[in-house]
Amino acid sequence: MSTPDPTPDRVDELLEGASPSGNEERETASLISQLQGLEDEPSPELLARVDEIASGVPAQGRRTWRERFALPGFPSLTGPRLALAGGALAVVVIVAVAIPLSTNGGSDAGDIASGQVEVVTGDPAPEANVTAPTDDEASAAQAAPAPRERSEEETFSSDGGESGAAVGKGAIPPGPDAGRNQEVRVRTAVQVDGVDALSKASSQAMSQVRELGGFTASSQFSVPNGDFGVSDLVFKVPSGRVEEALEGFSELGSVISQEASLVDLGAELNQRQVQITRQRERLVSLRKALSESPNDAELQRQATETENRLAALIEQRKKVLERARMSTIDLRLTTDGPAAVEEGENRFIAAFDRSWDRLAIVLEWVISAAVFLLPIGLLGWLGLALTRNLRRRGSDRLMDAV
Amino acid sequence: MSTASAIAVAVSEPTLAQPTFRQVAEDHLGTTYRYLTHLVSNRDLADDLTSATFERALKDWHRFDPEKGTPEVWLIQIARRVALDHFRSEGRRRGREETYASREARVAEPPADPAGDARLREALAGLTRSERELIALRVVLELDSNEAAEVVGGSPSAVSSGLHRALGKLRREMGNRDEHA
Repeated sequence: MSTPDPTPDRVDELLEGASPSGNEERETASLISQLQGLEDEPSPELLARVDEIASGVPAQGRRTWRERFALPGFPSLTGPRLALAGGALAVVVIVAVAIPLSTNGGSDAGDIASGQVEVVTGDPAPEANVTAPTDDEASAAQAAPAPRERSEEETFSSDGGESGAAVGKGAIPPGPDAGRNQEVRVRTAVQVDGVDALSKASSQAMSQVRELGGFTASSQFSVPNGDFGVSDLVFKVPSGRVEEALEGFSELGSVISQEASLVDLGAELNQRQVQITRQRERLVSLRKALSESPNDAELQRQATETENRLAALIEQRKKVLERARMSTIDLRLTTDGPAAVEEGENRFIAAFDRSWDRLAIVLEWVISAAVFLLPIGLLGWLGLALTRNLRRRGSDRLMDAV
Repeated sequence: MSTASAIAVAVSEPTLAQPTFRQVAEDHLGTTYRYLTHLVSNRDLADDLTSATFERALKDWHRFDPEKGTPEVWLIQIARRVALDHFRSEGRRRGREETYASREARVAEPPADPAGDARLREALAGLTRSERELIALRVVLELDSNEAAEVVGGSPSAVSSGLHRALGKLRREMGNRDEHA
């Protein structure tokens, strides 16, 4: 079979970039012509075999991931596009999850704004018999432990008053048990509206305490500038009327914090009573001995000493009783405090702030995952590239063989 | 009609973009065979590899995408992989049976051609597989340099320069044989 020599243009097209000499070009053209004239037709056996193969049903095979995840109308969905869409979807999901969580967090903000009252009480004291303790009772009192403080937290929320951050007007901690000797100390802070109101509120608080039978133990009023002022007041109020006093204080403004502690003084009183009884008994015996030997100077000195000690103990006991009788209230009136904003707005701002926190946490997870997965992915990619390279080199070697 | 057979029919039915496998096989059997004949320089082996190529093509037919390339290039790429697999297994076999392999090498030499182009075939057999491949793709099958580059996995310029070298070497081989004659 003879094939006409290809044109010089065809040779140029085949050897684009190369510029063979005229002789070379003629020889190459002749060679190309010979190569194209080689009769390499498939044998009838091969035709039959291929025909048999082609008559089979093409295998469906497994669907590729692209076919599997192809969206209707997006047949050309490629890997990078899918990754981009996945990333965008992940961001949307994160935001969608973060916003409701933050909104729930807004409810928590209201809880945070509500106050907590820490009530510290002593252990239930044994019934004190201060008038006529027996020896057994005295021993028991001696063995009684010192007042041990026990914390019991009681949470109470705002009464939904003027400020979301305020504890509320009706937030009164439980008062002292009327049947027991307890020392009560309450610290409360009330936010008032402006410096002018501060002075008025201080006066009102003092008059309220006087009406309740208490008195002002100390007072400190300070207005560093025209916008801010604080008044620290310490009141002594009859223990039975603490609740009334606190109720009155809550009328002065918004209660922004309150803390109460109750310390049971029963054990301390018992101890004092036992000591007093002992000293009395000792004095009685000393006086009896003095009546028998009135000139005994040593007995005289001991009797005088015991009398003094007894007087001191009685005085101490009175002080303890006074502590139980009059409670201490530390009242801070201030113009400064949590921003008195609308509850809804506060919740929204808090939710917004928390969204950023949550986003930071999510980013932290993403970065951690990236730090963890990146070296593994890099090693995997390197391994894959190496394998491909080796395979390619192997193929090149095979193809370079004669 | 079951779902599987309905899908099979749908796959077999010709559409504007997707030809049937039979159609592709009929149109490109000669091309594939010529490519493999030049690559392996052995017609019997080329027969076997052509059959293997079409078997694999039938299995992978669902992966063929006409938008990505012509059926001709797709079939030649499969033929190339089939041939490389054969070369690998042959290499392993020769490694195990060195003595037998040397005999096989002699058997694998191209037979004398009754048409009188034995000299050209012998000269072709003196080229490397990749040189023969480039000649087959560009000269015999007349693929353009982009398609040839797609098959061999290189750049079009590398294909052109490789073809230039291959033709030069073939020319020299032919000249040497003329001198010996």
